[in-house]
Amino acid sequence: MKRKPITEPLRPDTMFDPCIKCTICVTACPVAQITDKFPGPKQAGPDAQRFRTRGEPAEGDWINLCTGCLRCQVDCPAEVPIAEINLYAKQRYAARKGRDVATHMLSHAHLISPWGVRFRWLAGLMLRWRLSRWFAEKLFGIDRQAPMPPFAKKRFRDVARDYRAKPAKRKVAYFYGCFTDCNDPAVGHAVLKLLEAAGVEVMFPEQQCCGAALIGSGNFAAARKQNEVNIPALQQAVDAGCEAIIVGSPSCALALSREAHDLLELDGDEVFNRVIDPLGYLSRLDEAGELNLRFRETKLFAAFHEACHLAALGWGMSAVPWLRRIPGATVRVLDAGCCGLAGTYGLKRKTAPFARAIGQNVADRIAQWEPDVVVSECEGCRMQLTHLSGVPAKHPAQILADALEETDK
Amino acid sequence: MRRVLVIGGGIAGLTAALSAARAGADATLLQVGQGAHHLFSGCVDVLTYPQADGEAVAQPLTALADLRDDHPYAKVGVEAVREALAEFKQIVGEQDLTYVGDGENQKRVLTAMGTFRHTALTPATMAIDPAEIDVVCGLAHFRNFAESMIAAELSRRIGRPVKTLLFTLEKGRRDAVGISSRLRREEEFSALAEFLAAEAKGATVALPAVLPVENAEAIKAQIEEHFGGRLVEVPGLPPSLAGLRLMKALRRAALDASVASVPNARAIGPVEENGRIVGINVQTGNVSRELRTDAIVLATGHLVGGGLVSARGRLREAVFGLPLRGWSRGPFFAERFLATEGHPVLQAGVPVDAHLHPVKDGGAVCRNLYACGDILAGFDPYRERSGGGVALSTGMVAGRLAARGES
Amino acid sequence: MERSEVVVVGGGVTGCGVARDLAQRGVGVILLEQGDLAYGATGRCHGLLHSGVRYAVKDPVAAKECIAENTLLRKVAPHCIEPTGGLVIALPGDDPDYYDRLRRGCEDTGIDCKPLDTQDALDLEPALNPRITCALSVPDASVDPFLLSQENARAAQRDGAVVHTHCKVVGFLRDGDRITGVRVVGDEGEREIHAAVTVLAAGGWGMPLAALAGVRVGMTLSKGSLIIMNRRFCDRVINRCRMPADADLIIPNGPTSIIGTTSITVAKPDGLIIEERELDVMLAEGVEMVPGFATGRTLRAYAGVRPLYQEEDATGDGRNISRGFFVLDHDERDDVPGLVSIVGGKLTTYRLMAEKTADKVCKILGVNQPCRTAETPLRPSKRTPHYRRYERLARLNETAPGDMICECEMVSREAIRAILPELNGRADLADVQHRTRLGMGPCQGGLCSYRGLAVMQAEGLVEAGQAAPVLTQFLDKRFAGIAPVLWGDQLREEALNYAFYATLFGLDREGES
Repeated sequence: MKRKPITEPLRPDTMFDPCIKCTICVTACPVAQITDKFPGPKQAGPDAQRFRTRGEPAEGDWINLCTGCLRCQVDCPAEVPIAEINLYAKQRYAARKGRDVATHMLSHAHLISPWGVRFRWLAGLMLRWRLSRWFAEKLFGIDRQAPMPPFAKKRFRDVARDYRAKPAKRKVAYFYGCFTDCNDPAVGHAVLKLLEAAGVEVMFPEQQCCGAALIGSGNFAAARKQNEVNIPALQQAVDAGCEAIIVGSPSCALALSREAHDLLELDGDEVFNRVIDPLGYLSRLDEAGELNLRFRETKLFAAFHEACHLAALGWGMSAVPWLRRIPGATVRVLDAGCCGLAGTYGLKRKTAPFARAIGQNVADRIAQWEPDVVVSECEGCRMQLTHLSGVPAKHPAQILADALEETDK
Repeated sequence: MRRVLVIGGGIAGLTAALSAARAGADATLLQVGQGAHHLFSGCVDVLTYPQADGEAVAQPLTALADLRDDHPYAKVGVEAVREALAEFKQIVGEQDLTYVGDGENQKRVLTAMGTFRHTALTPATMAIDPAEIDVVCGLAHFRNFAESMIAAELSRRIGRPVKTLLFTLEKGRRDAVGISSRLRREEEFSALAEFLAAEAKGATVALPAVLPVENAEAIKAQIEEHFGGRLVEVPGLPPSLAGLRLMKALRRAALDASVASVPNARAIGPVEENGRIVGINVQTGNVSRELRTDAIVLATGHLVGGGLVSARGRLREAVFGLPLRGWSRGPFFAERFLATEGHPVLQAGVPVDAHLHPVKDGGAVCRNLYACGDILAGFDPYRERSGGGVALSTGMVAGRLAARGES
Repeated sequence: MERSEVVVVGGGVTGCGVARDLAQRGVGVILLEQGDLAYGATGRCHGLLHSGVRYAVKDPVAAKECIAENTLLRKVAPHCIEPTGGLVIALPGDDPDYYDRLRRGCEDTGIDCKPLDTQDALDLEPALNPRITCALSVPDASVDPFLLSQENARAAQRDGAVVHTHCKVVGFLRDGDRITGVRVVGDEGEREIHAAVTVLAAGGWGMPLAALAGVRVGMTLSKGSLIIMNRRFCDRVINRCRMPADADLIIPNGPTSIIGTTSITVAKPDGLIIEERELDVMLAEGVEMVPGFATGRTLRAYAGVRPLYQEEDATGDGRNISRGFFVLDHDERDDVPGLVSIVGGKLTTYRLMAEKTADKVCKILGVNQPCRTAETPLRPSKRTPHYRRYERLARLNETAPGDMICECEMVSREAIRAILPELNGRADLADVQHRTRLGMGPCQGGLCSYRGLAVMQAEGLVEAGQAAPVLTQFLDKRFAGIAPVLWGDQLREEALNYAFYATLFGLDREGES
């Protein structure tokens, strides 16, 4: 593997001054709770960064135990970008030591998934057959027990391509993401249904994988390439009158609004500031008095799981008050930490055991509450929590779309 | 429904948001990071040292009457403090977290320095008076607890011998967060129980405050049953698991009461229309947006919380730039670090009227803006040991007032 | 009653160097220091291993001395030195003439001075002011004065020397006119130490001590203040290209940057106060060279005294070994036998100063041993903390989270235990700090002082009832250096620390009961 020279960005050097050593980040870190192999976000992040000199080896393989959940950063009262410091460290480590096969494969899942759709029955078999999973673990380092998603019968991209929007006063762009595209288009249909019920014109800009997994493994160059297509396409949508860019998955939203700016250093403020989750957008319309959505009585106990990246977005949990509007539904917020999957972290053999240990807290609370469904915008969380608890998991848009009564709009 | 936006997720903010929600408002809690409760003992301090040169008070609620008019307690009144304490106990009690005490009589808690601290409410896991402790049990490789030092200091203070024990956890994570996480598991806390049964049967044992964040009382009860004695947690340097339990209980109560939690969002200034504050500009990273609201409660804390920011010779309230009282150009801190008289800057804060509206030139800045907690002027929570009581009482009052609007 | 051939008064780098040199030559030495090693100017200087560039124009002899010792010390004590290299940079408005004179001066004195393209300099040091007009690369380096002093003392001890810290000289023993030793006050009370030769290597305290011994040594005490920033803005020593003036030097020191310094005459080497105007000039000049200083976190400020030898050779010969430092044989100079002073000089030339002093002492004692400190490396002891930044970082995972006592500076329980024997039973966290860097990071002892105390206590160093005073003393000491620059992030930090130690532990009331 070709080693590129490390060109040190200045920013990580300047980011740790505000750290007041309060250790709150350590209490937030799911990895710190379950292993002594990871020094913890404070030590791996601002403490270590103060000691790093350019050109010197400055981290061990422990840096890759950081899941990138961003909880440390979200909980830091001094706004030290701890996770970002760790990410730059991961990048340096990768520049020295390379990345393992599993990381490569999984962060390029957007190239593999379309083949999974095309050869759906075979892909499904390989993902469920113990022998092929065993091989995948030995050859590629993909954990044989880790949950794997199904493949769609029809790609959502095809739905998007054929979609004819009803012109309306309000226009939005919908960025559906790889998972909705190739694995779980039901989410896309649900979002579309809600937006249509809201009387909004939906357009689908040209879109590629947002590169969240690439960013997570420190591969900024590849992620930038992806978003050099995405951001201009979204800008075009904005220019065409889209007032919001609906992004169903928190990780995609984070990549397209914040990471594209902070880490990939792309321009696109008009795009970044318009990224919003579907239910957050509906809340906006509702506040403006423009919505008349009604839901039919549905007896349901829904346990809402706040995805780590949703917290990182700083939008709050817009889904929860919407779910509470469903007559007969009980909604409680799990507030039990990270599910552990962390994108590709929970799929790799090296880190999957940690991922399972991390997610146990949430699984325990789910077991204690016995909800009918676990709700999360994040596909990774849904996969992981169903895997750990056996309870089905859905995107909030799906629950709302199912309960939606026909309106007069 | 009246919308109330609380800025700040510490105890004051959580309490304000909860109170607002219980009073019928649509409450949103905006915060950057977690609050200082993660760092302190987990006890609720009402008042210990009203005067710098005075003794510790034995009856906190009674002593409130003697405070100056500009003290936050004087603004809300003793009855509100009493009510806030009771409500707090009830709220966290519903989340399986028990607090002991009522503020009438001070309680004592052993610290990891072997000193005693006075407080009004303690978590049940810290409810045993230091004088009753027979054994101090440390955990090997746990750096925030000097068990033999604590035992020696305790013994000196109570005039009888105190035994020291050291329990060794199996190899694995042995800092506060790691130990607390491990002790959730049966095999881990049973090993501790076995050890205590062998070494301290029937005794009252002091342990560092590292019981698990969830189910601490239940696990403590199981350990106690096994060794036939009693356990008491000793607060020390952060991270404070007891503080974390307190936060989680309040937070869960808030989420169940339909408070909308918006973490990782910084309030950077007001949105004004026709001289009224109608919302807040909020920023997360490079992305900003407006949040519209009917009332705002400022619970952003002091220097530690980030509600006040400083530069050389300057101090400022971080969100609105509200006028401050209690410090003017001069040294921020006294000459000695551990000055008994406290430090000048810690007295500084936002002055408020009887309705907890921040004031400017004698009048309220805004009819729909309230302030509560450490950011208030007129007191020094550190020197007085009054932070918890002020947070709960002013948080409760501010939340209710904000929910009701001007009566 | 203690007795030795030589008593060295002063545990700065010079005194430690003298002890090391003499011990290596087989001479019995007792080294005395009133505080901890490097208490005086050594521990309060800028930490610069001069290339000599700062003297190249106005004092070529000193410049030559510097570059020779600089080159030598890098070989002899590499673990005490970070070979950062240095830059000399000019900003718009600086005298362009000086640049030429500087280059010529370097050439004449043998200082390897290379001009750099300003863009190349900015690539190397992006934190520099982008408006620099020129850049020269010079072989400056960063030295850790504490470690250097300690390593010399440790080497001396390995060769049989005895070191007493926290031991203050309060009088001299006499036999007629001859000085036969000293009277000291330490932890065990007052006692006498007899020696054939007493060496005063006491920096600014050399003046009052000499007076106590009945001789006059004239000095001008020039206070210099410095500010430590929380992070390392530049990896190289940054010099301003102009005649040396206030605050034109920024030196990386471990994970920090130190900006300095000033020059104000004071009467005594104790009780130094840092004035607002000194802070003003340092911050202003610092921002000129490194714009990031404006928002950087200030950690501490400190002041030291340059003891500048002022006296002309009045009577006797008082041979000048060099323009920078002077070895005074008080027998020849003042008819007081048994007393030698080493005065003036700078840290960079300490080894040479020690050599000349030891030469003089050996001559007086009739010991015929040459100096070998130029060829024998200072061997790092087992106690030596890993100073290189990335070394500590590389070892991060070798220490379990629960055993990392000072996280800011990465000091493990093991590292502390290793140096505790050197404390000779004294429970003093500052002594631990000097040997490990505990408490020198952003939290300034907030979290680690308790933990450090716990380690000491577990080793039996802390008596019952002493825990609170030991902790309070250390925190107050740390605070004295924080207070002058206490604002912004550090103010937030100290408020938090105060909350722990006062509100949580009650140490403002020395424990409530």
